[in-house]
Amino acid sequence: MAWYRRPEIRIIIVALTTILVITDFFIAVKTYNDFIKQLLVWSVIISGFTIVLGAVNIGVVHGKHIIKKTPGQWYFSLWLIICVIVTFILAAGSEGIPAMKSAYDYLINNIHTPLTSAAYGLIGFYFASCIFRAFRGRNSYVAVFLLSGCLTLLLNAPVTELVPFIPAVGNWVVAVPNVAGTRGIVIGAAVGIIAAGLRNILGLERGGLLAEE
Amino acid sequence: MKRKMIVPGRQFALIFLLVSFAIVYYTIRKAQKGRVPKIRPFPAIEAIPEAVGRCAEMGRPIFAAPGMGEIETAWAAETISGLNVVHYTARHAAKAGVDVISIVVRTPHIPLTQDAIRTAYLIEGTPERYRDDMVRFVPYGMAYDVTIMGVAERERPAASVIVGTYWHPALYTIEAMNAVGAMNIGGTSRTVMTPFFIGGCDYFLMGEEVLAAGAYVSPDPVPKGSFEGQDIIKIVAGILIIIGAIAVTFGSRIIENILRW
Amino acid sequence: MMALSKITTIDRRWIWLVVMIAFAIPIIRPLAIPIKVSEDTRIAFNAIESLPEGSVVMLDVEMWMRYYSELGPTTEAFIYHVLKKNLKLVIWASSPEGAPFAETALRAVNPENMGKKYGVDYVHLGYIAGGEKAMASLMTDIHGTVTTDYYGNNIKDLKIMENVRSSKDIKMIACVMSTQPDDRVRQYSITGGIKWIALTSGGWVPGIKPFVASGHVLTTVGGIRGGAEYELLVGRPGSGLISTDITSVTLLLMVALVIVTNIGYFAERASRRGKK
Repeated sequence: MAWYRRPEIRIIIVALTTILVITDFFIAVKTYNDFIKQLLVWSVIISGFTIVLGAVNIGVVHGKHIIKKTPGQWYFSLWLIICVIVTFILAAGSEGIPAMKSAYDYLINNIHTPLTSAAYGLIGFYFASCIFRAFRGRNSYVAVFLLSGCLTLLLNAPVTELVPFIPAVGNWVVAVPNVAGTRGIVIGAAVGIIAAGLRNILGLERGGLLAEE
Repeated sequence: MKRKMIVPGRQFALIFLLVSFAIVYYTIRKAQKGRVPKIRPFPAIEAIPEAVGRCAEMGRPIFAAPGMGEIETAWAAETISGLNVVHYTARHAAKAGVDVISIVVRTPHIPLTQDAIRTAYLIEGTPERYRDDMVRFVPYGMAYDVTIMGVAERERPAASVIVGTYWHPALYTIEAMNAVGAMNIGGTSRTVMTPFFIGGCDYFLMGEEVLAAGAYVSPDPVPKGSFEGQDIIKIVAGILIIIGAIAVTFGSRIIENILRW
Repeated sequence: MMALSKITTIDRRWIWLVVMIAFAIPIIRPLAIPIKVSEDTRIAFNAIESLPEGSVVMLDVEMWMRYYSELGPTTEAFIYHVLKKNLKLVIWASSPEGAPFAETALRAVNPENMGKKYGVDYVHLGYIAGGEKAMASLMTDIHGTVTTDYYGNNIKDLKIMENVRSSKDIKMIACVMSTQPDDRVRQYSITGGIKWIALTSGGWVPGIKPFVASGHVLTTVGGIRGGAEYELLVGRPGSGLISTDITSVTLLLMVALVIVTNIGYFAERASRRGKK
């Protein structure tokens, strides 16, 4: 195995980066803090590159459909690839070419936004059909959830201000039992992150990379 | 005046972090030496072989996704759990000769999910059945919402296993899968989505169960050992909360001052 | 009982038709249901009101364009309020669609009509990739994180950015978001030392409340209702106020659906027991 593909290299990089960033939160040494600031800026840049992964995956998956002319699919895949390429060209060109910027703005404001808003409107219907199909008091879990769900819905409806007790009860439920429960979940998640951080440092966190199994 | 090296107000946090690390390290080592803690079985996880069997009988694929949270953020623990569940599902699918479909919405998840599924097929002795396009990337947002509806209608999975960090797009997944008669197994610790998982899924996991399930299905003793350590830390945090609440009730802010040290 | 138990077998497309009618009624015939301003929205409003002239307010827009109908009114009212108070506004987007979202809100407010000048009174830094890493980076070094604004101008050439370099120069942050607030609590509240306002969808308010209770988040302005309340407070009635009728009718419909489906479910159970 080539030296740069050895798992020890990956583990050392991950462990070192984790320790450096964690200690920055606690240490007040200007040189060190400035170095970590720079490291964070680098990581922001690297994050941008992961978008390339997504583009490659889309190309591979849909390219296969186009090449094989998968019935009922290949023309949608072709349209998708055309849209991705056109949007990329317009977005990239919008930085320096005013005509491309206005075309990109037109694409976002007059095509993308109305389409996504219309598609998002579906959620209201799916929400309603999910409620109708699933929110039946078939056991205690669902019964508690549907009661608290109804209360939250009523709390958000301005008309219920006309019924005096609904805002009072609803606000109390949100401010007291909800806060208590959510805090428990937040603490649990935070502890999970601490443990994941330690597993990263020790090189025991393989995520989904199970190749060594 | 000598400047403090440790940021004021974070000293207790540093001590708590180091103690937490020590606890988790101890429980991981204990598990690695053979004293693996027992995690209770989850009906949702026990139902996965049943779901795969349903897919095999009906000759339809199974949909399994690791969640929508970025693995480099606070959602890491849930996403890793979701990946473990995807791997577990894929192993059963590989044994039964069922195809897996996975849709990921974060680019770093692509290689991780591909690896989870590929390794499953490799372990079960059917590496030739694996295809890279079993894992499809769709950007988070409406693209995912309409894609999942299309995938459900066209490929008609007979079951879906969605465990991880999920927000409102999970509603589309649950409803779309229900519309084609698929069995739904799901879980998230995101409180805003929990009611939909409980109502819409045939089997569900909620809250901490999502994290525990990932450890439960993993053959590696490390996640199980780590989970035991996390439970100990949560007990310590709970004791601090109770002592703090009692102290504040009697007018003392000692715990609050310690936490802010 | 048999008739009631048939409720559970209603095709979901009939449900969708009822929902469509419920959406349409308040649009065709506005109901003008009065709204009361909640304490949470008032806290947000007062927080901006109390800032001295010239203070810098940062607006972090994470929302996607499809949420514009829900959070657009809140964002517009907030931008209007900040500029009306002669505060400086720095906008950045933490999601790719946050940038056009903010741009759409800015165009709706039209700061130039208020006598404000781009680059002097407000700036739109555009999308900065990296999520929490971008927030962390901005809190410590804005000029190191981003060098050009949304329109391609070098930020060094913009007067407003001369003295805005890190969290120390920012008095208040507002986040247009619809997600867990943990990352912002870590970066804005803890690292940056700034309490911030969450302009969020209604469903996320319960999830952010613990952080309001702990003092990390100043307050929440929730959903379209919060937007309508903010519009009332700043004296700029808009689509938020118009939408409150639709919100009321559809949310009541959802509650009615829960009641109806449970009537059908329990009737079905009773008739099955009766048959046994």
